[in-house]
Amino acid sequence: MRLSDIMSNMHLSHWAQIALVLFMAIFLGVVLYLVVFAKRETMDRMARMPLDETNGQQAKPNNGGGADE
Amino acid sequence: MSGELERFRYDDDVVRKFVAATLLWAVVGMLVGLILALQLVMPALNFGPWFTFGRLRPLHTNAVIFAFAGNALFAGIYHSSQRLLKTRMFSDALSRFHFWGWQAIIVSAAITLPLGFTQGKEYAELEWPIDIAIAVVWVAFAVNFFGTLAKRRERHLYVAIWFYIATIITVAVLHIFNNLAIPAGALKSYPIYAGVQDAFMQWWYGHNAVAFFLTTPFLGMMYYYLPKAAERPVYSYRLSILHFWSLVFLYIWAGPHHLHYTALPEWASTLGMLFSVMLWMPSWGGMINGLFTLRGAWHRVAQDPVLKFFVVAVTFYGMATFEGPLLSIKSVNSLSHYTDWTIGHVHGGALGWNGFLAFGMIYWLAPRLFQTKIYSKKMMEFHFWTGTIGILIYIISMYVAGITQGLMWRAFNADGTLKYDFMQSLIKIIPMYWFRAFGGLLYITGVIVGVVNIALTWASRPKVYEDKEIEAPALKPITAPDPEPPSPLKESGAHVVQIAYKLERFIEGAWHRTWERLPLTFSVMVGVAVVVASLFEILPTFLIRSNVPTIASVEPLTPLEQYGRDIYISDGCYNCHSQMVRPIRMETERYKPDFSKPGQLTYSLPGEFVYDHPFQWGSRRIGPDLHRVGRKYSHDWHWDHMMNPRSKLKKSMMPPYDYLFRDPIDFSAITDHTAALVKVGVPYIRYEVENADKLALWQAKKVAGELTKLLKAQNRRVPPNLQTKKIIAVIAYLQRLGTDIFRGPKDIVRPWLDPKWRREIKLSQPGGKD
Repeated sequence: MRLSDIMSNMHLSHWAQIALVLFMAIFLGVVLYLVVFAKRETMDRMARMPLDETNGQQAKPNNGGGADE
Repeated sequence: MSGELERFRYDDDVVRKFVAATLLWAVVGMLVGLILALQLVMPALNFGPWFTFGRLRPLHTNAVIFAFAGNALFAGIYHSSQRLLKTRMFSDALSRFHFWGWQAIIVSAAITLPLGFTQGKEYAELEWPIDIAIAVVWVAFAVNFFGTLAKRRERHLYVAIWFYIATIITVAVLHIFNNLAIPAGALKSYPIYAGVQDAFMQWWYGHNAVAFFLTTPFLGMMYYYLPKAAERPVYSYRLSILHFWSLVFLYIWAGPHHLHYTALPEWASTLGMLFSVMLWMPSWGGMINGLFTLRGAWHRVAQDPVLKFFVVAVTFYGMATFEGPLLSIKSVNSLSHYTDWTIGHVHGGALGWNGFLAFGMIYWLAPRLFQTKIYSKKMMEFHFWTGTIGILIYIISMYVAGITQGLMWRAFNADGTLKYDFMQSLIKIIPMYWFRAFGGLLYITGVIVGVVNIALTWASRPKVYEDKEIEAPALKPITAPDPEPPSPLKESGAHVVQIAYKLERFIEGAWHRTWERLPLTFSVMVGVAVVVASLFEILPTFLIRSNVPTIASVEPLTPLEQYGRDIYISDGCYNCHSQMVRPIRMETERYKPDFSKPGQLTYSLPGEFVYDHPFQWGSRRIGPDLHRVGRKYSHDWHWDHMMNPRSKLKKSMMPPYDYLFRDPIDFSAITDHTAALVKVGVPYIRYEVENADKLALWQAKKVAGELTKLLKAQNRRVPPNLQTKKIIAVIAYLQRLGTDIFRGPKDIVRPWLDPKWRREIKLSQPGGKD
């Protein structure tokens, strides 16, 4: 028996549909996270990163986006 | 919480090098493009065998994608990553190795492609030794990049860095899997995949090369350089995150939309279409994000040519990503596929999005890298306007040509016969080919002015570059997790409430912020997404037998026919001719063989390609489809047509292949090729492999004999040693193409399968006297 015989009997063409739903769900999860839960201050601070580096100095000490900032 | 201030310097030298290489290869790659455009309207410009359309077109695509866009994205990544991560690159030696290694690869491509060394797969033409070199250089780049991430002084990774990570991981995966091949000589190989599977693999690669070589790194550059030039942060950081994840999760699936109505299984191409349509959303989100970044700064766009370049680039990103999903819809694709519409689409993306983003970035970088003022703003304006007008002329003429030709192909008379023959559809669009060449000329003129401008800027650089020292606090390892915010839930000791607290923390997204700080985890996640998506899509086609039903009468090519096919690949015939008759009436009518019986299936079946290493379905019909060309014309027709195509078809654009009439068949190579094909799964019998050269000579004599008879009947001169010329192998291949499914039990293609034949026929040695 060859590997392709085994695979042929596994009905794998459904994989594609399962994956479609799975990937859609992850995509919607990211949307949900961004729209509902992402903090505005964190987002704004991240957005400013390219403008931050001209003199190599950081605006403030930074240990990474805790909700207290 | 941050560490002590540390001092360091950025490595801008490597960025300067990549910028210079970008400009050099832009001129080379685009000039070759212009020559190709002119070859279509003036076939006399085909100087064979090295400078024919079929051999130059891969050089053009490889040069603009991997040399021009490649060097541009490396310049962008090396410059912006150091600043976003507040550190010098991990290793100067690796940076230099990456730069020089990449240039060596480009030079070897520029030499081998015109010489006819090619794998015959679009955008993956380079032969196996160069493929190995690409893998080595790419790994060096990856080590350098991830090493830089490891020694960074900035905890968070800006979204541009995410895009770079996705690029590095995915391109490595794509390159390695698409190029798996068995060598059959120093610069010859056969891919391990055949037919449908090879097509699937190739377009999984081809589409994702667009996604992860021409889109994700350039988006990273957009998210860095556009805010820099506009001096304001990106419009919505949320949208940029959405943009990123949806590209990673959706793009990798879209490849099969290149294979609609082909012998690919229906479900795979439908899936490709669905995901392509879904891509509309994030792509336009990204475009809007880019354009809205300029809110409140539009007055500056009028004065700053850099911003103009960026605005047009982002607009073309939007246009190309609108058009892409549109073209992936099956009904649209049935019209657009194989026409110049596709060529218009890719040039909108390449010239508008990649080209203008690269030039905008270089104009922004030049005064900073060369520490002087830009030489001429007027020249920048000139470049911008000639470029923009050039792109518009180029793409509009291609849209008109594509839609015209597509409509002519599908036009029927009232009596059900085809309204136009292929040549009529080609003659109709020749004026558009002139417009296209003019549009391209304008674009290149702009580029050359741009190169001169940058060169003159460079000439006024200071004697010694100031190497500014930068200060940034060192990054301390994270010892504690994210500080936890006060929450009434936390204060409660109750078990259920504790669970609710954990849930609250989870949906707050603390996990996502933790991830962003951990590049390794992040990279693994991107890798997993890409690989899982690919496996879900690719595995079924590879392993389920019913997807590629075999056909009993389809047999491997004979050694001589296979040699003819190798010449077909080497001369890049697939750049103009497809080998895929789609199951659409306009195609089955046009390409059905004269000897097919009424009601017989004549479209291409998956099982017909099971021995095709590589597949040669093509993507554009500048000439007609060739899958059913076998036995359609006589040997002497092919003879005359290959010697001078215009002797048979007055307006043909095809180059003459007169060198095939001079060059001898390399019989010793045939033995090596046959042995290599056995290794990739072609079921040649042992006798066939051991006697491949002799069997090839035997068949060559047979074909040459038939041809001699035909020529003599017309009182024409027959050249000596006809059976040793390459043209005989090509004719043998063309006459076999697509005929196996019509074969009756008495039509034998490999008589040596019969032991009686092997006993009776005495084979002679190639090179011997006879």
